[in-house]
Amino acid sequence: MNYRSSPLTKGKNILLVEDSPTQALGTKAMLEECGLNVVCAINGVMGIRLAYQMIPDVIILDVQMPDINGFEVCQELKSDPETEKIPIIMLTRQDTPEAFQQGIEVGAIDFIPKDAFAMVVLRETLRQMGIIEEPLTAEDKE
Amino acid sequence: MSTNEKFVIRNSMDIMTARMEVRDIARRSGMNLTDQAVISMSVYVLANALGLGKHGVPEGKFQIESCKNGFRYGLKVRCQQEGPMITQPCLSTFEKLVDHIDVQSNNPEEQEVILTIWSKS
Repeated sequence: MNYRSSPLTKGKNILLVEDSPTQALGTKAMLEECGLNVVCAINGVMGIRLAYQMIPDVIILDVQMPDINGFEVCQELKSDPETEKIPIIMLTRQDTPEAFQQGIEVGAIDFIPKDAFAMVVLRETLRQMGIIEEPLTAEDKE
Repeated sequence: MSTNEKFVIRNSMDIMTARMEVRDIARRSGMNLTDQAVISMSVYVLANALGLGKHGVPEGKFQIESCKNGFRYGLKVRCQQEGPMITQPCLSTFEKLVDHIDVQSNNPEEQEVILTIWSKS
């Protein structure tokens, strides 16, 4: 399927690359609640393939994956003009400054530790990036 | 845009809130997405390096202020904490993350860590 030529709905398209089905389901549910269209890839290779097909508005990328890791996926996508502009947010258990630095060096625009607050931070980051629309205020509605 | 915002970190939820607020401050200051990530992650890493939010560790007082140097602008993160001095290995982990790091101490019981990040946009 060519996602680029047939966007599913009006919402922004997110590619979620996560090898853990449990975590993928939880993250997908949260993103869909925010009105986003989510397509999941279960490994890095599938993630790269879908990134070219979809050209999503954002990629949310797990770092630790069995085939190629998130840093390699990010590097691959950032080295191609077709995909280099897609913002990539990394989700990881490795919350060391070294891992974060590596993420920034390969072109990620955020690095969110997988702690108890990961989903809150991810949602707020997407809101600040304008991917999730801010709720209308009473003033806006008038 | 001039910024001077303060917050206190007492628990892990405060760290999360601080992280998001700092990112928003960086965004409103005109910093690009990477700089926003660097500064918000620096707050997270610094808070964890100082053990903030853990049982028995004194609270940390953060202050975020805008700074200028000629045409460059950036943000300074100041963290004051009463407690043991931050160690050299901890400090060296920041060297690649931020543009400048400074530790000041008026007495052995209190320290101030200052991180500076210049806008790359």
